[in-house]
Order: sequence, then structure tokens, then C-alpha cells
Amino acid sequence: MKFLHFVLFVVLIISASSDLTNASPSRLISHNKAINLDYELIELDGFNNDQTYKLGSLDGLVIINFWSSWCNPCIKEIVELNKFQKRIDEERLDVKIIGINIFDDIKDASRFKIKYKPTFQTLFDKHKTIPIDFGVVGVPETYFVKNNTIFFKYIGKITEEVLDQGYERTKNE
Amino acid sequence: MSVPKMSNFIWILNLLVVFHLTGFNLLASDQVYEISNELMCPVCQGQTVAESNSQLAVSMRKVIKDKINQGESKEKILQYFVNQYGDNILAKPPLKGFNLLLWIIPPSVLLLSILLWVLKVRTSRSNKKQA
Repeated sequence: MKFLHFVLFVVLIISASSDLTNASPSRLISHNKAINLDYELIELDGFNNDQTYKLGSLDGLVIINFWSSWCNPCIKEIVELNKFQKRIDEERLDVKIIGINIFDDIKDASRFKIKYKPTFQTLFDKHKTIPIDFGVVGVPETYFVKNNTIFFKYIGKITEEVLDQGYERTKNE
Repeated sequence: MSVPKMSNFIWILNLLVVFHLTGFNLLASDQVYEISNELMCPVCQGQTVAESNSQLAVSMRKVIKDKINQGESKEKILQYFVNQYGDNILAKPPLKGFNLLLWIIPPSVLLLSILLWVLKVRTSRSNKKQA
């Protein structure tokens, strides 16, 4: 009987951990919430960071990825986001990826930018309030936004497959 | 009519500055505490936004402060957080829908248990008498 309990415990642990680590398009959360993008953020160039960028000026479909320099899954998903950025450039997809650094220090965010080289635009949240407007709970989280409306949300490390699914589904909204 | 001395003006000015820097901010921070104490921190276990030092709670307190400074009412600020995170963000969720069940079920179960216990005791007593 004790052995059966042990086996059941191991099976539960394995299934729970695999569910948490496996990125899947089925984990895209449907949202449909209007969002105010009237934000001026600091453009991270890794050195001076003296340029600002107005989010409100965005048109069309945008994938907004929230990250922090101290977040391990954020490091791992850079490769996936870079792959999707490459596809955007090559296939001229009508979408833009923006990475917004939150819950962080600008120096650490700059070091992250230099070290992991995201090929998409990266911004720093100087106001410290943007995650609340989106309803962010932790990092990484990715939002699929079109015409100032959040259509889908993804919690955790994202993959190229999920980015593609999110993009296609948001495009058809 | 006596002309007020210049030093009196300076004193009044100083008092106004002190009131502005301390009194007004204290009022605002009291309001921040009051509102943040009615919100649960989404990433903490059993802590309100007022009690938590997580980065999310710090950001939430900043949002509350900004909204107070913009003249928004407590109800409007709380509603804003409900819109972002749902009813569960409230330390005292409204008595409606599933939340209402949470309030009704525990006392109902307790009452039912007492009733069943009383019935059982009575039945066992009457059985003993009959025996």
C-alpha cells in the first residue's frame, strides 16, 4: 500500500511539473480587455538609455512581453522571441514585438540587453505602473494586443509556436 | 491699523510649507494605506498590498498614490483593481455568486452537523429506553 502511495505521488509530481514547464498554445488565455497604451517608456539601448518611446503611437498588432533581468525563464525565452522576430523580418508579418522590463533596475536591464541580445525592441518602465494596467502578476508574461485591446495573455516562458498561434488568433479577431 | 511684521509672514509661510510637506503627504499616505489594506497582494499568501513588500505590491501602492493625487475616489480605485485582477483582489470579496456560497456553506454544514448529532443522540437514547 505504501508503495502504491509513493508511485501515485511520483506520477502526480511528474504530471504537475510537466504541465508547468511545457509551453503550449492551449495555455493562451482569452482576454478581450481594452487597454490604455498612453505610456512614455525609456528605450533600452544598453548604454545611454536616453531615448523615450511612446507606446500610444503603436498601430496594428503588437506582442508585448514583460520581463525582468533576474527572471530565469525570461532569459530562456529570448531565443524564442528572437526566432519569431526573424520570421517577422523575413516574412514581413504585420506585427511588432516589444519587450518591457518591469520590477527591475535600469542598470540590470541594460546589462541583460547587452548580454542576451534581444533583437526586438526593449523598453524600461520608469513609471512602475504599467504592469498593473495590464494586470500582470509575474514575469514573464506576454500579451497579444490589437487596436488597444488585449485579446490573449500567456503566463510563463513562451515559445515560437505559441507566439505564432497568438499572432494568428489575434489577427483574426 | 497695525502692519503685520515681516517675520510673522515668514512664520506663516514656513508653517504652510511644513503642512504641505508633512500634513498633506500624511493624509495621502493614510489613504494609500487604507485602500491598499483592502486589496490582497496577488503574488503573496494571505498578505494585503499594504503589508507586502513584493515588487507587484510596491507598484500597486504607487498606482494607488497616483490615483489619489489625481483626485480619484476610493471606490473608483478599488473598482480599477477589480477590473484588472478580478473580485479575488479584494480583501473582503462582495457577497455575490460563488463568494456567497463560501459564506453560506460553512455555517450550514455546522448547523447540519449539530442537527444530525442531536438526532443521533436522541435515537440512541430512545433505543436504550426500549431495550
